[in-house]
Amino acid sequence: MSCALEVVNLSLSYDFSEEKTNREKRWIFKDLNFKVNQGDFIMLTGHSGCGKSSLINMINGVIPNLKKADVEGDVYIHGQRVTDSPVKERTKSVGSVFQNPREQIIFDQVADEIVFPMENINETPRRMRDKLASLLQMTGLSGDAKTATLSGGEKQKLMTACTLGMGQKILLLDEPLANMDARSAEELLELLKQLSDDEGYTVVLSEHRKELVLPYADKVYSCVKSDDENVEMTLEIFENAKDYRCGISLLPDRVSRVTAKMTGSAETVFSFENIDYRIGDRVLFEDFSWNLKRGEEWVVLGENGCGKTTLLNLLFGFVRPTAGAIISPYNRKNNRKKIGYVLQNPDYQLFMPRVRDELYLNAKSPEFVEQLIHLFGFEHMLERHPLSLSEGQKRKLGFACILANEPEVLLLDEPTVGLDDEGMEQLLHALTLLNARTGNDRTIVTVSHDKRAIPYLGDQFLILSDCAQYQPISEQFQTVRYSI
Amino acid sequence: MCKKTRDIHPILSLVCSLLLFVSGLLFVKESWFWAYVVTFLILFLLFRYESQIVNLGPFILIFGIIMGGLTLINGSRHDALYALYRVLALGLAGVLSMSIKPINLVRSLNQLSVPRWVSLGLLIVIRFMQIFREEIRRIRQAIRLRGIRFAATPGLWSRAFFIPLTVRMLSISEGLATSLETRGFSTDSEGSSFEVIRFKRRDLIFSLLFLACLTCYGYLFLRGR
Repeated sequence: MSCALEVVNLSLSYDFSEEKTNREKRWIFKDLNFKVNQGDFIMLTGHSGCGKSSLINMINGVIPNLKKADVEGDVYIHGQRVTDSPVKERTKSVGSVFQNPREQIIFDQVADEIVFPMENINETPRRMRDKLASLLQMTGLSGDAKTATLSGGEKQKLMTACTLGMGQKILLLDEPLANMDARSAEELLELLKQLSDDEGYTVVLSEHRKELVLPYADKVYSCVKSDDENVEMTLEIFENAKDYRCGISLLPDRVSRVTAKMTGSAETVFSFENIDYRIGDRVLFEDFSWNLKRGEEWVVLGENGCGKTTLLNLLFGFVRPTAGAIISPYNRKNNRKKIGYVLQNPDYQLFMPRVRDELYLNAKSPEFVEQLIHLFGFEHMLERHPLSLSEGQKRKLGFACILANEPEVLLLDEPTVGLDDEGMEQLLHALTLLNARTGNDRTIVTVSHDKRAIPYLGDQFLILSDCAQYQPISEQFQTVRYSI
Repeated sequence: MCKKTRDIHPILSLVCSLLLFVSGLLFVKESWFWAYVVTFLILFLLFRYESQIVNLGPFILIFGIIMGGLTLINGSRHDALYALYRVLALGLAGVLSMSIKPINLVRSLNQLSVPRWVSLGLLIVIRFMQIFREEIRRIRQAIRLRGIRFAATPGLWSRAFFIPLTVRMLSISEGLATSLETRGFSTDSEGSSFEVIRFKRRDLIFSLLFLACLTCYGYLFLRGR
């Protein structure tokens, strides 16, 4: 089998201090060597911030062409040395799907976004129409849909479709499943596997939800801690994916599910009474009724774009139903402060000059903040600027800041996206700590697609389906409980 | 697939919009300025621009009244009226430019062999305004959920607003640049076009009526000089 991609003595450093020699520098990777054959399906894994995205960006040329870094070694694509080639040259052979799809969308309409890369590579209108039709069918998106109204998962599907439309035989995907529901993720993985097996596509896919990708992967490249003290990471290669074991480390004694539920007579904190919610022609809720009682922990499930985040926005009061009413003591302005809402993107929530200031802003109890600092390992970064942290650390910090306010109602929107197993365990443990502080009377509503975390995030499930239907399945949650 | 739209050709819309703005500024002091505004509003309604008029109308009226009011502080009633008229001229031009679908403008500019970096740059500038508005909405939401109120802590509120805004704008710019390059955008290549934007009969009728109206008012203006 021919070699699609080869990396020779590849090293990466973000340490730009001129006085240091190469030996003294701090390296993310040092002298990486590997070959990827045509038709291989590689799962790239490792903890948050270990350098998976950097490795992908070194292959497609984003590093060092668009993002500054100290890079040594060589990259070969189909036997050609491309080390000095710009991104546009490498793009002819390598397709890339990045994280944060929201930041990459240019056009108003889905169809225009998908055909844009095809226009760039001079495809004929007829071929573009054919490809567009098949990509729309594959993703389940509507060509006329406005990109601004797509959910996070739908945006991710859109950006994947854009890349697939270009038809490069090497695909690099950086956490493409992060916001996708299980069915969409499996559909995408099946498509990638089919492309890899039948048409010789080479797929390198970085992902934290390993249990989802592992059945499709031929090989696993795992970023692990290096023995060299000047080098952070090295790559452990499993030539057969079956030899790799998912290291999900959740322990029931650390992350205990809350069992003593207050039901029956507990106060109703939110009552949705026959609400409708529409965005333009799109119906997200129709005649939807739902009661949420104090102390309940709900996980909201459903396919991308079915209205999960909108449900959280309705709970917080960011949006109002187009018909019907939401009755809640938290509707009063002053009581709204008692609701904590963790957004998907932490960048919006962080603005203080130091991590310490961020954590103590509006914190109720310094002792609890200390506990959170210890739990998330913030001790050594308290004086740092929050925006200088890695994505995973920022996500944890945003979460900790909201928890430090000790809200009575906690709304979590995809809290585990981009978190490795350790980060997820810390997050779940923090929830347990919060609950323990007040005798389990927190009401928590979580939106999540993450099979790793769902069983620990709640014991009542609300499945939103068909964009207007709903199915409360609290009694039968055992039957849909996800198995890890 | 894309729906067939009834919009006027984007280049024609852009040119007419500019002509309306310039002529509107020239005509503000004429006694028949109201007739000029009403004529073009009727023309727009004939060509189904009612949603743009409804969307823009209240904003233009409020903005016009504010501008007129401010002018009245230091100027005469006539000056205030002219200030209001200038805003109306801007609004008339805005009705047409609001109807332009950015992608169609880019495609028609490409058909005219305008370099892609110019047309796409224009598109990104237009899109960036929308992104900017959306980012502001999200940041204000984030401020609300962290319990910060401008009235109570204006300094903290400003910090919570401007720091995430700057970070997001930088992040989006970087994301867009990377996305463009990795999706094959290049200034060296002209690229192909998914859809050819043609000049249709409807565009011809619109341009003839538009020119007829403008010529009439132009003649009135010149005769009055």
